[in-house]
Amino acid sequence: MKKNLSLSAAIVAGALAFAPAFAQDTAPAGTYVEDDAHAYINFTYDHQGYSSPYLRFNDFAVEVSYDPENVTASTVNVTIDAASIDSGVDRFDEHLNSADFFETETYPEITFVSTGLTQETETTGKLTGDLTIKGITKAVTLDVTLNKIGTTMQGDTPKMGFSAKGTVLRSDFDVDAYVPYVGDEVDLIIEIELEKSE
Amino acid sequence: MPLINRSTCSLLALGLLLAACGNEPETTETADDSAAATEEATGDSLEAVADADAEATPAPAPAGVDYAVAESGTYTPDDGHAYIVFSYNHLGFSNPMVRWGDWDANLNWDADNPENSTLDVTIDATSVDTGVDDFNTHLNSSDFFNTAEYPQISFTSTALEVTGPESGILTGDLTIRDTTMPVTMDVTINKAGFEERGNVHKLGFSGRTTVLRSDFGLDAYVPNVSDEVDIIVEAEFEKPA
Repeated sequence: MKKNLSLSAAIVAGALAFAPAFAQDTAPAGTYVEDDAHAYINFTYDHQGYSSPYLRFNDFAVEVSYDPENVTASTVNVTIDAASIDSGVDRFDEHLNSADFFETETYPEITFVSTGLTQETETTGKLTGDLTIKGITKAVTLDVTLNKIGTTMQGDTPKMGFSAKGTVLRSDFDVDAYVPYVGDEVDLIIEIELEKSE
Repeated sequence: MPLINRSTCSLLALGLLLAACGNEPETTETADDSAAATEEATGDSLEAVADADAEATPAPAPAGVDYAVAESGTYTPDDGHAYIVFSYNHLGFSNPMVRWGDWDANLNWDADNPENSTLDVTIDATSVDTGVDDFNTHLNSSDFFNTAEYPQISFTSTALEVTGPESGILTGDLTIRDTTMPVTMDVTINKAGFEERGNVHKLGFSGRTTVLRSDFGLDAYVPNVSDEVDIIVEAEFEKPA
């Protein structure tokens, strides 16, 4: 079976295209989309100094255009259903959907469109792209790690797994309620498996 | 008297704090209390929010943690700000992050001798929440947590060792299904405070540990799906004043 990659810098997904660490693990060029059962976008922040809650978005689509011959030219597009934000606390979810925060009725989608990918090691790199929240677009950079290239359990479809991490300032996107009592910095924890779709 | 760093080492756990410097000089902490009170008053006026559930309480954490601000007694989780999350490696591809949505706890906090504090946690095993319905169902099945037969997961502390001004190691018995095993967690107290809004004493904790699920007989798909499970606890506890 394919060798596992170490998850050292654990950063998150998005762009593909790092020269694979294992000679036998090369993914073919094409479009890869998220495996809905194994894809997570989590985030955490400081709550008044007491704790760091863990929240997630449940519904999102990731599409990667991968070129193994020109890895850093690969692209990543993510579309998140903003209303799928999930804190595990119903009244908090309602508040997050309101105009105090994500105003999801007016801005139903959060999007990320990659603009550049640089490779640092065989399995790590930096993915830069335009993140749009509440109609505001800002460039963000994520540290990405390619965890593994392999196939699905059935063995018939190429598969890739990524980790990505980054920090954004929510105030950059006008989601700044209670800053600084509740932290402005939001740490993204992204773990995504992708399967070749075509 | 050394300044206590808020961000110390380790990982946090189910909320026991250790105050190695339970006898830290009072002067600085008193000053911090005054500063905190002032910040709270100012913050309240700035943070008036109509939504009763808004996170509007002010007061950034003072330098160091003054445990005495949170008086001794029994604390329970602030349901809106208490998370138990776990993560593991899935076939080398990614590290899913799963939470338990419903759990309760009693933290018997001894502000004068934190090492004597105790913690009991009861998790509704059926509240395991992966964000994927099929996976939740599978986790509830006899392949994993067998929640029909074992509806609760529990933790009962047995010892707390102070390792630093805000850190310690919490030991206790973790029971999953019909197996009880001792586990240790690295714990950090993030903040102790009194919140005017709600009129509660409050303690905020972080905890981290790694367990082997096979120790509890939960070994499906090991090693392709990792045996090691990292547990992250971020919990705020409160006690009515």
